[in-house]
Amino acid sequence: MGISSKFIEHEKKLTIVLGDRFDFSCHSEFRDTYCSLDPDQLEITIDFAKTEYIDSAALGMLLVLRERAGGDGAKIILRSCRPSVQQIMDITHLDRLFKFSN
Amino acid sequence: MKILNAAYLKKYRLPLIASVAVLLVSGLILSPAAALSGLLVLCFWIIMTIRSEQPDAAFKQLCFKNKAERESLDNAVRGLVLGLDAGFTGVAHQMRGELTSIRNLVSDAVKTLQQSFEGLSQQVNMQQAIVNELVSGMKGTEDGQSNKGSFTAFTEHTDEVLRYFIDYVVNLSAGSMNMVGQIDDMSDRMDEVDNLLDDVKAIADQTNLLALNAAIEAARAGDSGRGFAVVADEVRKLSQRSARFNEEIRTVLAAAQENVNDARATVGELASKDMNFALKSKSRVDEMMKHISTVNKKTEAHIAEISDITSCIDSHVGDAVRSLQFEDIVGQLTEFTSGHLGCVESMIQSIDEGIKDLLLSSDDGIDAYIKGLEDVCKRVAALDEATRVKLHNPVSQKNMSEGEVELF
Repeated sequence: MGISSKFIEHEKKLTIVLGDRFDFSCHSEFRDTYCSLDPDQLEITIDFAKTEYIDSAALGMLLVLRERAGGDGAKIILRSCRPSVQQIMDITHLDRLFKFSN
Repeated sequence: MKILNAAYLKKYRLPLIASVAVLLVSGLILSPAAALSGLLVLCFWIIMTIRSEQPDAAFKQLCFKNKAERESLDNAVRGLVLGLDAGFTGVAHQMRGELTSIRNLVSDAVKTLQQSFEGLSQQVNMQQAIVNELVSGMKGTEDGQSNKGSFTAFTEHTDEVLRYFIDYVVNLSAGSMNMVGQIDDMSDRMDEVDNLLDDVKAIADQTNLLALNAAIEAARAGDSGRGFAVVADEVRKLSQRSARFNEEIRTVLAAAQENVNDARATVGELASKDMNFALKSKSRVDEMMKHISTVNKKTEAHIAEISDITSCIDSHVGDAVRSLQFEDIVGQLTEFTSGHLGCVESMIQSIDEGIKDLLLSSDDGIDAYIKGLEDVCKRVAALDEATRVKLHNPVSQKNMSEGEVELF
């Protein structure tokens, strides 16, 4: 549980590591990781390695972040998605909006 | 005359019966000419055996010096010819009758067969048409009209609805999360207002204190400070009112904060949907699509098989109908055989006449007798040649799968 983030300023890289659940209860925590920064200037990596469950609010949060980070020009990578999470991404067509990596 | 006596017939009865049987059979199977030639050979053989039966010493006595012997031989030959004639006429009549009934039987059977084959062909084609109709009804996409009720269309529609619903949920969540962010921002602003209210309270407190000091100073001044004391009192009242206002605002603000938190919770609840429902529905629809596609493929394969079978049956029926032309061939053959029978009759007649001539001749020599028989043989051979030219076999084929049929 809990979200941690690491911001490397000179590389303009933000890494957000999610907990085992990524849902509405994580909203403030998640938002706080990027709120004080300029997301459209950053390369953002979101690590799903620990995440077993996501709900629709999580998808909404990702989309909001994407919007904040410049929409189609956003540089967001979703890393290490488990199959159950990946399936949801595929079904909701979020796989077309984000890049994925292992 | 003892030539064809009982002893002779008894001695040669087996070869004689066999020869007559062979002759009849060969007459039926081969050409009548062969039968007649055989007949003459038989006669010749009878005479020759009779001759060889006699001892050489007695041979000279058989040169028909004895009239009675000549008559006996004549009678025997006449008897043979008459017997043959009578027997053959009967057999020929029977054969004609049999040929006619063969032709009628074959004709009737072929007609029935033709009808049943045509019926079979029609039924098979109807069956194919029904199958085609059934399939296009099931698929429903080929004519483009009735695809509302089809399986595929239903599944596609379900998939579409699911797709729309998922998109809707995701978009709603995104909007809600945006809203929650704004609510959080608003909440932060309210916190700031709360902080500002602290400042206002401090000012009010300070003003109150100030007014209190002013009142004390006014009291110390005595009468001359009485007016100032009134002012100081008013100022204190103002500061107290201000402090009260401050409290009221704080209360309202706290209520507003509570409302905002409620709104945030409500929006959050709306936006938080377990996405497993989508996964399950989607996989179910996908499964159904897969199943339908499998069924469609199978159905297509079966239809192709049925079409193959139908065309196969068609071709078999065509073969059968073609084979039924054998009726014509059989008809021609029976007619041809009738013709041959006629020939045999005329040959018998010719033998009849020849033997009659022979019997009328007054030459007593055995050589002349043999020559007379040879003449009959020649006449028959000439007749045979004539019929061969006249009755050319119109059917060259030996079985139904080969050969050609001349146009009759």
